[in-house]
Amino acid sequence: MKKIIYILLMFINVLYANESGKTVIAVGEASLEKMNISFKFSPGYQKLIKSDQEFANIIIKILNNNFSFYKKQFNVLKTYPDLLDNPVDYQTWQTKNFSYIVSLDLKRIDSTLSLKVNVFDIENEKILFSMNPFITTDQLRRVSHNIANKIYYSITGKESIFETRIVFVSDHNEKQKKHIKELYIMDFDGNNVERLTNHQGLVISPAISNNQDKIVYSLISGKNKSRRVNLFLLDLLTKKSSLLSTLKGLNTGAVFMPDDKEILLTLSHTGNAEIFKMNLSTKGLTRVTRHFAPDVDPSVNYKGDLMTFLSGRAGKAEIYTADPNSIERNVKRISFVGKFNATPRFSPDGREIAFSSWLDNRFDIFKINYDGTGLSRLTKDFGSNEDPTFSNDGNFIAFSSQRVISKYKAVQDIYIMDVDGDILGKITNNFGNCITPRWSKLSKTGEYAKNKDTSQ
Amino acid sequence: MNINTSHNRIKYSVYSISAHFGVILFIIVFTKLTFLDRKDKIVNLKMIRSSVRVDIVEMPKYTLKELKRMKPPSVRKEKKIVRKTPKSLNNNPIKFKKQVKKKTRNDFLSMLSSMGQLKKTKIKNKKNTLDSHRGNIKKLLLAGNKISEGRALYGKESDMDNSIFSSYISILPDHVRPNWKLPSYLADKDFKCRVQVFLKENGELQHLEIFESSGNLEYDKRAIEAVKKSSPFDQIPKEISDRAYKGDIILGFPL
Repeated sequence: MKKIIYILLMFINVLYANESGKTVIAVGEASLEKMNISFKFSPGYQKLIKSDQEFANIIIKILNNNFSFYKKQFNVLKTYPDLLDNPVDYQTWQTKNFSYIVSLDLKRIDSTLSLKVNVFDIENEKILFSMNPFITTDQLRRVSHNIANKIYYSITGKESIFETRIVFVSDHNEKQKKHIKELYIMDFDGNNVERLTNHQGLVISPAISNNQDKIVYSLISGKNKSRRVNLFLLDLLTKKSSLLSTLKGLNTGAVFMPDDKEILLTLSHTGNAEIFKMNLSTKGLTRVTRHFAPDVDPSVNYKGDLMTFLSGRAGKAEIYTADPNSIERNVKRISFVGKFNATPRFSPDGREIAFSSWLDNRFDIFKINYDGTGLSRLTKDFGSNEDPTFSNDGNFIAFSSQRVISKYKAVQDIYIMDVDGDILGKITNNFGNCITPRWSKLSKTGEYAKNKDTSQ
Repeated sequence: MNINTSHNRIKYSVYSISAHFGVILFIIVFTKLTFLDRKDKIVNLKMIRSSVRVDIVEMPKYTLKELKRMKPPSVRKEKKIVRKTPKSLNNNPIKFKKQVKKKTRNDFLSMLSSMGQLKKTKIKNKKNTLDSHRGNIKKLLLAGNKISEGRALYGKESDMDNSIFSSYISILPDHVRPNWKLPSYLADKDFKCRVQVFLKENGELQHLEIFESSGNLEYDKRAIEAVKKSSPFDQIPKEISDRAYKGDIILGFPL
């Protein structure tokens, strides 16, 4: 709505109304102010032993890197001196135009490290937020992300992406065997990669639950040569997979409903690919689409009252929306253009749908409003881009991008861009062909911190 | 028996005739109904076709980033003309007033006189407009004033003053917007704040008042900062200096 108003203002330039002889003139939307922020250690840093100083440096590095993702909101600045004076000289920082200074005071207590974090609001000359977590060396990265998220929340009042993870599929270490791709999970910044499956088959279309404890995925088994694509459920706490659906034909494209008790999936046991809803505890099926054309790739909004899916009912693959709680109710065609559209995905607020579409001999990422308006292109001249997935805060989109190196070789990596199409960079590197990223929602902090880092 | 059989024959023939008639009637009614239905369908289809508009376009070639970089056709040039006009009027206001009087007199005369005379004045006006670019703008404004003075409801505040006022305030959003900045945590909260500004004739900010608070102190503070940073504003035309001084201008953040 705000955007529409702004565009109107751009063109009309002026909108005014009389109020008792006085005239109100609209200035329009404000531009976003970048906030200068710096992370600094307190003088206690010098008393630490060398190995602890190295840990301290890793924490600062993670915090700096995390905040640099929000480069449209924050200028992460490194200023001299490196250590922060105590008490904080607000006025000096005000003259340097800083909005926030974060001080970190690391102390060793026996085998654990105690970290005192203070966020100083420079303008209002007060401590905005403080916390005092204990860090064990095997949880360094996770706790650092947790600290970064809490700092971000104290400043903006919103959750960040810092504690989210991305599920993806890769053929890492499977170079001899062509059709083997397994399931992996990593932090949003590409670190802490963990292998989740060992099926020796082709894992496709994974989806992570809203509370981050389950993953559904489909498998084209390498062992038997049947065409069946079975659906599996993986428990992230026990790391065990179980078969969920083995009906004839496709059992694929599953996504969790907002309550995590049901999933939407594509089944083709009726002879045609249709979307069904499955109750995870009873495994009972409810039909959602009924059409002679194939309906695939469902994605549901945060309320669970609208789903977007791909259907061939127009003669080619186009994007539709429908009510997932009934059969063929409120089916509406959203896209009217594009040679081949694929993988429509809802934004967290349910207002936008990101999808990939075939244009100029490659796939590119586009987005469209849920009502079919506002079609806009996000990627161009950047390889072939597929499988967009929104971050939990709706500010970023992760996608897989393919670069052709030679006639027989191409590399696929996972990249992150913001919702305006500004590419931040790739988060996987030399990890085989990485495809189908699926961004998790924010984790429950307690559960999350229990998991140990798998890599440093 | 014979009587009975003949009676039955009549009875059955009545039945058969009525049954046949019924069937024929049913067919006629049914076909008519379906025909009507079809007619309705055709009408409905036509209605739908005329009301549903499907724009068949291609996928967008330019990315959102590229589109943002493209500047819309600048309205600045037009604005400059509007800006200049009150200034040029200020330079020789006496001359301007005289001309207005002459024109109004001419206008009244022409209204009373014959059509031929009207044509002549029009030709004269046309000749005058060919003088120079500046003169052209002046004459256009004079022509406008000629009409507006006759329609003004109040003696002092003429439509001319209103048009100068509205043209002056129309440049304010562009002047203030570069200083109107919000941190991300305030940007999408749908706050609305209105600031009443009291301006001196040279465009300097005399003082300001919160006309309508957003309810958020920080947001109000940012709006006030934006106004303060924007001072001095453009010089205010004499005709509207009173209105600007007594605070007739209210800036809406964002609306």
